[in-house]
Amino acid sequence: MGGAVDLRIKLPTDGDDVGVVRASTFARARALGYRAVAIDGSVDASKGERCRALLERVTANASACKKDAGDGLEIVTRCTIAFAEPGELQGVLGRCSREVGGFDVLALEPTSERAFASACANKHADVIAIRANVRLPYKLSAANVRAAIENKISFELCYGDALRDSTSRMWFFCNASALARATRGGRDRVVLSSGATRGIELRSMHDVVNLATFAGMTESAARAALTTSARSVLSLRARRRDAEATESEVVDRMDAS
Amino acid sequence: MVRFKNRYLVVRVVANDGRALDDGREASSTKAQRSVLETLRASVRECFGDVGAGRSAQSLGVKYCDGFTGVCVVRCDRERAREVRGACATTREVGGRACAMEVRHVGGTCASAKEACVRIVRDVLEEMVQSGRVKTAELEGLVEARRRVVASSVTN
Repeated sequence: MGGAVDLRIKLPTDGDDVGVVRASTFARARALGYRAVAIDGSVDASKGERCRALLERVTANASACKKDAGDGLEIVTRCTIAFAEPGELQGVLGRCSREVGGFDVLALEPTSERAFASACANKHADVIAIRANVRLPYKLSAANVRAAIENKISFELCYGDALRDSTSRMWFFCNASALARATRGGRDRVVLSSGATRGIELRSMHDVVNLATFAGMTESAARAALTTSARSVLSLRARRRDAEATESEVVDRMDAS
Repeated sequence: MVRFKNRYLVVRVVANDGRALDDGREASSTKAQRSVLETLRASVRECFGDVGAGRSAQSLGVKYCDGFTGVCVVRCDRERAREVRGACATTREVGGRACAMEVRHVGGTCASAKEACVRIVRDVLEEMVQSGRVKTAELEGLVEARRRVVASSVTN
C-alpha cells in the first residue's frame, strides 16, 4: 500500500452537517494522496464509569465513517485515552478492555509527568499523542523515550496545531523541536498526523514535510513519519491483536484439556 | 555578476465553502491577486517575523492568479522558497474566506511554471465539470483563455 497515512482525524459526531463534513473530509484526503485515515475518538480516563458509554459512541461514529468513505481510502478506528494518573488508565483498560480492543489504534495522551512515564512503559499502546499546542506538562527525557521505543510505541504530533493561531504555532514548533532532538531528528518512531476536524485543515504530504523540517526533523524522517512509520503502527497493532487472540486460544485449549 | 535565482510556486487556493476566490469566470483576477499577495506577506511575517518578511519581500510576488479556479503562480527568491512554502501551508484564510493553500509545483524557470499552471488549471476545471459547475463544452475554451494569459503574465 503506497501513499500517506493520517493517523488522527477528529470528525464531529453530531450536528446537522455531519454527513457533509465527513464526505468533504474524505474527498479532500483522497485528493491530497492519503491512502488511509484513522477516525479518532477521545476519552478522558478521569470520567471513570462513563468511559464505556463514550467508547461505544466513538465506535458507532467510526462505523458510520467507514460506510461514508467510499473507494480508494481505507478508514481505521482509533481511540485516544487522555489521563493524568496511571491508575485512571489502568481502570479504563481493565473495565473497557473489550471496547478498547476493538479499535485499530490505541493512543495515550498523558497530561502529567507520571502519566508520560507510565505511557512509555505501557505494553498495549501504539501511539503516545503529544498535545503540541500548549506547554508540555512533562519533559521528553531520554530514559522515557528509549522505553517507549523499546515497547514499539510511536510519538505523534498533530500539524493541525500549527495552523490554529500564533500561540499554538509557537508551542507546536517548540514541542516538535524537543521531540526531534529526543528522537534523533525524528528518525525513531515519530508519526505526523493532522488532528483535523474538517477537510480544509488537511495538508498535502509535501507541505507537511516542509513544515516538519522547520522543527528540526530531517526531510526523509518527516516523509517516513507520514508514510512508513504510520503504516508500521497499523501493521504492528494487527500483529499484536493476532498474538493476543492466539494466546487466549492456546490458554483456552490448555484449560479445556 | 551573480544571477538572482528565483523559484516559481504553483499554488492552488481551495476554499472551504466550495466557491472560488472570485465570483467571475475571467482568466485572471487583479483583486484576487492582491488578496493572495497580502495574505502571503502577512503569513510570512507571522511565521518568520520581521527579518523573514524583509528577506523575502524583494522577490515575493504573485505573477498570476485565477479567481475562478484558485490557481496562482507565486514567485520568490530561491533561498526563501522553504519559508514561503511554509507560509502557504499555514495560511487559513484569504480575503476573509476560509481556505487552504496547496503548493502543487515548485520550479526554477518560468517555462516549467507556465506548463504546470496550465496542467493544474485543466485538472481543476475537469473536477468542476464532474461536479457540474462547468459545462463540458466550455472546458477547452476556459483552458485556452487561461493559457494565453499565463503565457503573457508569468515572466521574470
